[in-house]
Amino acid sequence: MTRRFDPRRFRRNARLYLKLQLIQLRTAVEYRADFWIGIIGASLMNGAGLIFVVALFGQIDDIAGWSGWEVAILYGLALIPRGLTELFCDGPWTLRMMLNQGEFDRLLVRPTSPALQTTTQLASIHGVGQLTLGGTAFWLGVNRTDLDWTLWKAGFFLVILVSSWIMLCAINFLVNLIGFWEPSTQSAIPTAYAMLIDFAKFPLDIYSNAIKVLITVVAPYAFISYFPAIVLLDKESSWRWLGLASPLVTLIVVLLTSWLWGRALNRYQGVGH
Amino acid sequence: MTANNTANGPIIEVHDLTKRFRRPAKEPGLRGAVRHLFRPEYENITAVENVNLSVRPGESLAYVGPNGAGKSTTVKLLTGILVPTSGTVMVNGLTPFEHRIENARNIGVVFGQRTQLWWDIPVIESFRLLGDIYEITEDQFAASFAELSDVLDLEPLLKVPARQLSLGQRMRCDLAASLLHQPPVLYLDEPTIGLDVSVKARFRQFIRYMHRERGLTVMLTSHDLGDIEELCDRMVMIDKGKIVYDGALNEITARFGWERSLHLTLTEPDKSAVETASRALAKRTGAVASQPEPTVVTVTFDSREASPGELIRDLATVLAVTDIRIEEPSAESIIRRLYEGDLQFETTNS
Repeated sequence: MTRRFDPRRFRRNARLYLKLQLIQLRTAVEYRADFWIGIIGASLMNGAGLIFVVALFGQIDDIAGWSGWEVAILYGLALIPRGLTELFCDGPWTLRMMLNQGEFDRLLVRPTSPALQTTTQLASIHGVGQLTLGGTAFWLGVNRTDLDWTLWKAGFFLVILVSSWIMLCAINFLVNLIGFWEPSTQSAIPTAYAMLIDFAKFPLDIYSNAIKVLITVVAPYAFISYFPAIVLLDKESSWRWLGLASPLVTLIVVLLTSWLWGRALNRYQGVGH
Repeated sequence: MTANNTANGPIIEVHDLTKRFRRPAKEPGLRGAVRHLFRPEYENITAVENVNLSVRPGESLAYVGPNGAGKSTTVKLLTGILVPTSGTVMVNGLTPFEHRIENARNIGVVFGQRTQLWWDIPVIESFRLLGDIYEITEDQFAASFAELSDVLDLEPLLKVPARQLSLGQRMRCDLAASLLHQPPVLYLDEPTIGLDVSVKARFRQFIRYMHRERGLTVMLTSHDLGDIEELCDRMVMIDKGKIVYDGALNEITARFGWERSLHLTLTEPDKSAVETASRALAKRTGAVASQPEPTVVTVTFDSREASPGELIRDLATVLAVTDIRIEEPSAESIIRRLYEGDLQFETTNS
């Protein structure tokens, strides 16, 4: 089935997405205790990390040539898109449950894309916490380092933000697609994979080669923080071009994910057996 | 209600529909799982085999069969959720799995145990969202909603979030939700599970109304014979993936109703009554005696092999009998026994 891009359909889907996601966000806010616990929980979790960073840079001036405020920029670059993803694209985390309980059937008897419906199954309100913390870290980092903003860099920053967000949304789908192949098990793989993003909060230089490969190739989180930060901070590095290539990596992840999503749907529908 | 380019022809047409699943054949435990990882073995399971079915617009059809017979698989094939292994399906002039989205606009689906309402928002907002998903115009929505709300008495439920509704209330809302876009075909999958008697009656009344007044084509899978009796002109029964009966509900007694029972009440408890009866019936094929109570002997027999009179003659001479009752089969008892596997289907042509 080939489908050409149809701007009307795109606008319609965008509107539908906003409506459906707004419902989830509203629901998340309505459970008030949950709302606050979510935000406080996210802040505490990342806060503990931040305290560690602050304590660390109280003792030493820099790690692998990165000052504390530069690391704050890495924190920000990792947390902001993560927060956006949790707020606007956490639906894939319900896939396993939907598949196990047969809820996924219902998505297929509605006249709209199953991916859109999956995306809008959930909004995780602790995204607000990630977003606030990430925004603050980034803002402080930018103000306390000699990052000189040019129009070009502002543009690059926005592109990176959007591209990182899209990458994390795609990864949310990617890691949860495993449910189509192994629906019955309680798998730790998606969570473990998603947690690798924590490595992206520190400069790549401090890690062993195995971890470097892990977060550039297996789970390309370095492309949302470390490599773009090199560009933003004008760091001397032979990896600068990888920062510029970040949107390309996003594109690859998106293509891989949509290909696998198609295979997953076919598998669910039993094509080719 | 519109039916695309199928003015007089069938609205659902199924030819030689077959669905096979490939299921990993794993041995239990970790060892089996590891072995499967390296040398995967699969077994094929035929869920639906060479099913032929034709449903006219405005017909109401009950699709029944024991658990695991292939009912749900058929419904999933008809709704476009599953892709058939072979054979063709046409619903409203479309092949559902090829035109899943267009087909979705033509059908309503109610899964009895699941709701299609958003759990946390007032019912009316769920309806509006469905209006957006199905791209219903404001006018269409208003007209359709007014009718459904009136017939199903939804007014008092509209502001309540779905999670606070009782099962019966939720079923009413779910029915409305599945018909808002005025589909010509409605699939009901076990709709009355868990509903109390009065809610069931109301549900049936509504489906009858939509069926008679609006010409809705209804396909119902249910284990509740009341649903089938009251709602459906036609019953299709499936067992082990094959259609074994297709016709009116009460005609099933003519097809499968050759098994009768004879209840003999004895003058006094007799421990050897079954033995005695069995000896007397030795030459009658298909006749089986049992003793449900000390003073009652029940003989089931094949009315094509022997008449009740002949059996009574055989038995009355060897047993001290005070009363005799002949049990005619009802559609319900036949279906129940078919389900239990007591009675074998004759899958040969009739």
